[in-house]
Amino acid sequence: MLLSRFWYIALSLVLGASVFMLYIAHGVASRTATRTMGELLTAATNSVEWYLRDHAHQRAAELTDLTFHPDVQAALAAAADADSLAAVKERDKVKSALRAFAEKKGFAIVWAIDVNGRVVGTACTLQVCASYEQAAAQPDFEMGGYALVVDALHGWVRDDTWVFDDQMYRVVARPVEQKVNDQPIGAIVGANHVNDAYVEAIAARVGTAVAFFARGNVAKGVPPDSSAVRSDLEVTTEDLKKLVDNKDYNEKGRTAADTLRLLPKHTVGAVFSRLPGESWDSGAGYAVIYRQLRASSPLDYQGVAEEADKKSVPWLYIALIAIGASLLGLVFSLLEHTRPLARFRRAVHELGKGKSDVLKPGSFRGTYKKIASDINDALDKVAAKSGVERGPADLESVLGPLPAQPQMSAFAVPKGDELPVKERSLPKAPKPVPTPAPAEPGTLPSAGLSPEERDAVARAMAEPAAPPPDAATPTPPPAGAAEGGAKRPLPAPPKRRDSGASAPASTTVGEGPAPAALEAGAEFDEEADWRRVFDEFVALKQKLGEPAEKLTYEKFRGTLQRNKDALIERHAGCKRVEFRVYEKQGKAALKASPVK
Amino acid sequence: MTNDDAGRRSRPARDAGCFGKGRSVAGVGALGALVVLAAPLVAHADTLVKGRLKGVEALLNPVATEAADPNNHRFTFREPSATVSQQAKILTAFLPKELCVVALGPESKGQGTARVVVSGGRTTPVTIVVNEGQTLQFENHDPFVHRLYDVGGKGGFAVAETAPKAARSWTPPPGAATYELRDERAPSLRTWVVVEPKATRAVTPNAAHACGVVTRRGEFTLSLPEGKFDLRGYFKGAPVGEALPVEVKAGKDKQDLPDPLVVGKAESDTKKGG
Repeated sequence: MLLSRFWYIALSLVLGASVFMLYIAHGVASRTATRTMGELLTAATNSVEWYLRDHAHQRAAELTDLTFHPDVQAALAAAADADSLAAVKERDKVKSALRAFAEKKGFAIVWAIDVNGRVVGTACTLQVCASYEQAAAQPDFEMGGYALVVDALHGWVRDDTWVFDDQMYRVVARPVEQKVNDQPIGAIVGANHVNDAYVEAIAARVGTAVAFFARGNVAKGVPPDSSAVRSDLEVTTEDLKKLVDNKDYNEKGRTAADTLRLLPKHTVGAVFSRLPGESWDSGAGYAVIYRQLRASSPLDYQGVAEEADKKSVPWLYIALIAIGASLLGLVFSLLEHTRPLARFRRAVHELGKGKSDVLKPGSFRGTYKKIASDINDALDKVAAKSGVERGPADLESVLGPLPAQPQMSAFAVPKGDELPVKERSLPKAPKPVPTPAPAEPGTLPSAGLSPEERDAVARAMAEPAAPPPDAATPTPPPAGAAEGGAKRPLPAPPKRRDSGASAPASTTVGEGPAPAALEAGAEFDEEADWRRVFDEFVALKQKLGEPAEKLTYEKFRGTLQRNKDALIERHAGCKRVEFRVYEKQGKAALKASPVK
Repeated sequence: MTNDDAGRRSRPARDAGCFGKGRSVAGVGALGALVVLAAPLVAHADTLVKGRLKGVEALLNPVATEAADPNNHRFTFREPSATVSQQAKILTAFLPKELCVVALGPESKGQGTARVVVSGGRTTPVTIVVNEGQTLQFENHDPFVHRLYDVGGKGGFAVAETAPKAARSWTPPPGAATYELRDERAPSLRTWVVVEPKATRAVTPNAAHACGVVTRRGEFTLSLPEGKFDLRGYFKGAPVGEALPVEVKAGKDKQDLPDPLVVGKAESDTKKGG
């Protein structure tokens, strides 16, 4: 059972370690994902900023075509000296030139502005242009107040962001010059409408969702290859309201990367930035939004995994590990459970069928060995109650629990007054011949024996003493019935079952001349009894496969004698000691029983 | 006075030519025509006083100058044109709208409504000087709404929406004061209203304010009655430079001032002064 237990423990440890590592991995993955999302959002925000600058550069460069347009130059030069723009004849030509340019280059609005800030010509490709063109037609309409225009009229090229009617325009301007090192005669201003198409183009280049917002109006764009639902990446009015109190946004112009909202399987993060230009003070800005996969617990990974993730799993190795572990567990179970159980089942079956008298504990392992021994004891008791002699009784089962004795003190039997010898009506035996002094109590006499023999005898002597299962002596009652045993009529002498061929004579301990002699009241022949015990002991050892070649009777007898002497000396009134051979845990063993 | 009002009387002179030698001759001729044309419009008692400004280079456009500072985040790129002179790149003020030349005389109560046009990221004029009790009317000529207000709220000019083609009136509280007006929708718009009891209403009844006509070249004209005045330039809502004492004599249609009105200390003057 040890292998199985170790295997279960190993499996539990591996499982626990796996769960631990899974949570560690989940924590690392979550932290990494958050940091990665922040870095990505920051990089994307920088990319948007760079795009705005680069795009403005390009658009400003494209205005150069108009600054050199002869009609434009002539009209602006005329306007500079004109009291009223109505006197400028080239205005229609300017308008045509501006319109052609705006349509060709994709500008939403293009203005030609004279040195006084007045609008000489306008071209607008938007649907809302009517209001702008009407305004431009007014004599007071001008654009000289914008810093962008002032800069252009002073020889600067730059960009800006305007917000008109909650619509954002990215604007560039450059001066119109007639002579080198002279004052510009006017400026050309071009505007790009920041609408969904404009933002889509930015999102495609940046790789994340982008939204431009101004006064509640939002222009949004999502990369074309994005698999996200567009609504997940939108900036809501509630999101924009939070910016009012955002310290980073108000002071630094950009928020830190933060979670915008949590979706079932994703985290939506965003960075909000204020839009450079006049829009900086108009509440206009842009947001870069990114959707990151999210697993709230290790169990969520199954749900968020995609096909590619599942394909990357080394299924073969995992299957092999699982199958190997299962097989190993099955083998352990087979070795430690199925096979011993089957063997035990067969032995019990044979016992039940009468093919054997006893179970052979030596043929079993682990708990089965103990169970077999217990069954044997139980059978003995049942047989004893039934008046059938089955073999030597266990001293402990007869006398009750013995006081604790040091191991190997085979003859440290209970004190004389504790022995219920009187109730047992044991036959008397002649006083044995004095023998040499016994060994120290608690030690095993070993003189004259080889180590193996000494070990065998020591093991034998380690067994507690038991009364002899004399055939003429009634089987002693169980421990609990010891006190009343004397008053109760003894059962009829048990008769041993025929062990048959499967029960060798050597294991049918208890047979021999001693019981018969005692029953007949003849003089007890200790020498013959000990020889019989020796023969039985050797036979049992051979049967159990123990080495017995070097065990001689003389050495065996000396050991018995010394131990007998020790017992007699310890227990007053004890006349002799009866030894019995039996099998214990697959090995031959002896039991010594002092007899009064 | 609006740009149009000013132009009706002064644009020949203002637009006669600037920043170029070739235009000076035409400018003188146009100024002469202006005087001839304007003479019937002014009262017989008024004299058209003509003068020139000194130190205008020191007057910088506050909005553009502020926007040119990279720390204010007004652009993603700003580069000079290589073919424009360095002198031209200085963000000087647009004098016709940003500088107000006023004749300070005896205290008087203003009458009429001073018209202010809101368009193109600023008002016309940018700095306006009025008498006590005068009303200003802001006309929105832009195609979108404006939300003007006075900074600090001491003038009682609260934020309110002015739709396109609509107008909004406001009378500053009594007493000399300067009010700065801004627009929530157009950050570049900054207007200064100066209430000056001593300001002499100088031009046509349509304008009803005290600012004379200023050209881009640094010339100005004022229609003044007979008397002694101190001419003073107002820029960004405050008097700049030095006062120029003027005595307007009766019986003259026009009077050229021999000395310039100093509105700022030019860089060259600063160097001379050490």
